[in-house]
Amino acid sequence: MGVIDRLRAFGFRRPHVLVLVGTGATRERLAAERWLRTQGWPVAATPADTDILLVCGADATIADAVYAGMPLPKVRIEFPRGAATTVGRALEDARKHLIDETQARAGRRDPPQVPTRQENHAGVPEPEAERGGHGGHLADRGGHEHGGHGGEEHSGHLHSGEVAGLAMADRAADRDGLKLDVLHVPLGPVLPGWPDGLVVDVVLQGDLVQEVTAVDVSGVPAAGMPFWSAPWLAARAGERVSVAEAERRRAASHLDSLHRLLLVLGAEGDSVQCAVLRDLLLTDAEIVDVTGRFLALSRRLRKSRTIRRMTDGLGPLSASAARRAGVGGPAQRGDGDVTARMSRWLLETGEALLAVRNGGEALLDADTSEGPRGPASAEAALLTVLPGLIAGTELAAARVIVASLDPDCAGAVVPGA
Amino acid sequence: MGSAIFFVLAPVAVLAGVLVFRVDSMVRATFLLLVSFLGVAGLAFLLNSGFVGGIMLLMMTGEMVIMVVFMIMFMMNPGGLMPMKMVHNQRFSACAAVLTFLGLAIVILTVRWPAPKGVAPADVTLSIGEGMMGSKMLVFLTAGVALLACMIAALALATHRGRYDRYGDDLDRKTPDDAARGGVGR
Amino acid sequence: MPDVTVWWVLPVLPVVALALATFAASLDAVLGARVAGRVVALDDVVTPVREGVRLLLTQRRTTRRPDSVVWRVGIGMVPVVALLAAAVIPLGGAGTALSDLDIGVVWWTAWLALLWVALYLVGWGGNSALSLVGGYRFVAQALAYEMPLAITVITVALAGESLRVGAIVEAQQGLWYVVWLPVGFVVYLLTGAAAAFWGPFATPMGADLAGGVTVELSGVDRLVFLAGRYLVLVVVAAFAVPLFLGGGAGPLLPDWAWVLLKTSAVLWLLVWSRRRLAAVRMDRFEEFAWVVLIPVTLVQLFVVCVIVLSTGG
Repeated sequence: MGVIDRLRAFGFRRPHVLVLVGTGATRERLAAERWLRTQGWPVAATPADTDILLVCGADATIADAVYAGMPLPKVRIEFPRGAATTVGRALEDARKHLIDETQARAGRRDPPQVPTRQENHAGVPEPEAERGGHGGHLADRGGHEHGGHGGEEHSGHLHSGEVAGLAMADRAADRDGLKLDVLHVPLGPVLPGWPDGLVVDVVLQGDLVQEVTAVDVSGVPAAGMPFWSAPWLAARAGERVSVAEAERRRAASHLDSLHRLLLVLGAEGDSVQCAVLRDLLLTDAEIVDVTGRFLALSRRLRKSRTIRRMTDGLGPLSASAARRAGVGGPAQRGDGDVTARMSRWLLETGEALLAVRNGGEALLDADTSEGPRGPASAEAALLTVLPGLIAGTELAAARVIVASLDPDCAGAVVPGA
Repeated sequence: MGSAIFFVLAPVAVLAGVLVFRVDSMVRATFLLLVSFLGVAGLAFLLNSGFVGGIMLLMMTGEMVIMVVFMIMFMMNPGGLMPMKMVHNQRFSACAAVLTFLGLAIVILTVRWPAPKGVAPADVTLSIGEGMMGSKMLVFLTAGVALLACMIAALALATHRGRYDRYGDDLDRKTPDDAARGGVGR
Repeated sequence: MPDVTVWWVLPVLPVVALALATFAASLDAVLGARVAGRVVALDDVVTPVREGVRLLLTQRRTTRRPDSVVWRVGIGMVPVVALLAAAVIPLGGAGTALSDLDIGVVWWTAWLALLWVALYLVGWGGNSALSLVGGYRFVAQALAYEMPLAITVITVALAGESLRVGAIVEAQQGLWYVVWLPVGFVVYLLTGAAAAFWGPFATPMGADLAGGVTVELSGVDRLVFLAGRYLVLVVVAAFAVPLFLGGGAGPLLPDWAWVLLKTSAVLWLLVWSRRRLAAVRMDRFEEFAWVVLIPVTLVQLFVVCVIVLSTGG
């Protein structure tokens, strides 16, 4: 092995992996995230920073778009099906391919054109993005004024619909009543801490979400039950499920939601902590140990004035309004803003951990116990209240609000529809 | 050394200034203008007025970035997508530019410039400070406060929501009725 | 120009700065490994080097219809601006800055201000909505942090009765300014972190924007930007040493060793705080900066004025 080869092997010892998760591929995502964290491989946030694309049940068109946006060398793998290969083995193999790829690439140079702009990190192909309803604003384009410029010569700033096949900015009134440039941007499905498979089309002015034009769930949910409510669905179907097992799942579900919310809030340390605890719960770790660590984390989060300052007053959803919309679960019981929903998650996680310790082998009664995400229809209801909560907020706030609702789209899509 | 730097910076300042009107993008025009100012700031360093140069660097950067705030409103097309014409009302502008240039050139060439008296102060920054805060203090402070008052007044006139909209007709609302919550105590 | 340029510093400064930047990135990776519950391995320690090699081996990607000139200029500006600002920072005792300019404090502040331009250009040039929002975020952040930072730096200059960094170091040989300007030191660290878009102030490249201004960067572009960002952090940490920590003063060890130690300590504090604090958004922080930080720094400026005048300065 020459020096250059050694250098290649060294550079890609820990390649960056983008986990592209389709609707309902929660189990696959958790397995991948856990392996990456324990191995110290960085999780990529954007195709531009990705070496290996790991597709977990996502649409092929989305995966193609993301893959096209990745710089060379790049490798794309599917999440291994069946028990023959583990995700770790598959990723290790992908890394070897990656290093071979760098060797093969040495010598030829052809920078590809990336199908990018707002579409590319969203991973949504262009026709998708066009759906945002440009036609509705066409009437506005003619009549705009360029205040203060004077003369007839401001022909430069035409809103000509498309340039180079890319959609151009539009105009629309902002919240202060001024008519300003806006951009149609799809949020998701490839964004850190974003609900799996969700796509929300928004109209952006600066970093202000003016309006939500569409809420969609991309792709078909993976076969099988939604991961988080599986114990409850199984119990309802007549299987024997212990309370301890179900409550473990509930605590893990809330910790996963907290992990994503904290990631979006930029509290990286606490976010990773939540993921660590979540994975401990799902691997049957000693519950006393998990509980102790969770209580310390929970106390710190509740005390954090920064987090409270950043989440207070965002996305208020009162219990009664939630009930009217059909929203259930912690989002409804939280009865308030992001702060309230976050403390609700913390509270219910604590209760669930307690139930795991006390529950023993008692059997879950699916009629009296409700899954971590509320009743079956609650997820679809969350998607209906979401546009009203994020319209008119700043993009950062909108991201936090979506993360604080954390809809599990697998439950939102009617099977067979 | 000094003149070498001059013959680099002066053309940079002029060329960047010309390019401001030749490019077709608001961002490029804005930051070429900044490059032009930076060239001039460099010339101030050459003239032993480091303080003036440094402050120019800081202030011009600040001003150009404030212009960006307005670009947020008028421009959501990132990258080189939307060519924009950066010149308007060309005939009048050209006339005004040529006349100004001629006027200044005539003055520069015809006026009898006074010979420098005395020696340059050892610490230019100190003498600038003494100039501003000594005998000219009244002028500077009056102008400064007047400018600040103008800015506040302009803001008050421009905003379409006053305190009665925010705190209610009797100003008795506890928390203001704003589109977004602020940071301190609300 | 009357200011002495110490030529031997010219090759030394970038090397030292880059070494400290590598140290900071390595420390960050080690702390990250500990948070994730891993045993810290050699692979964590060498993270900055490995990432550097990886990015050099990765293709430099382009987007459709970017403003390439503006984009690349913005990326390149980040490390250049950091190194230019570092020119007035002494590496040891007196006369070890590249140039101890008579307006050193203004010089440092002015060059760091060009970061606003750099980040906006990077955000805008890539032709991508999320990176554009990242650029705009830094502009908003600049409006929040620059005034408190500038007032704090001016306060230190007033206490030292000079804009020359060397003179400020000399003036605090009796008592380090961190002792009698503790508020200033805290505000400096806070706003300095904001200037380096680090830790709680990293929202211009935040996870919620999938990397913000860096969302379209790959290969050598990404390497230059990220390395430049660590250089800015180093320059912020290093400037705290002459301003607040007495420069190279200290027992036993030579001046340069003390400067290195103190800079590393401040760096450690900044890096460590990253995982401890949640990000602050400017829609909430802007008002705090103007309603709390600026008045606090102004009161401190006033107190220092009175003290300087009453001790016959």
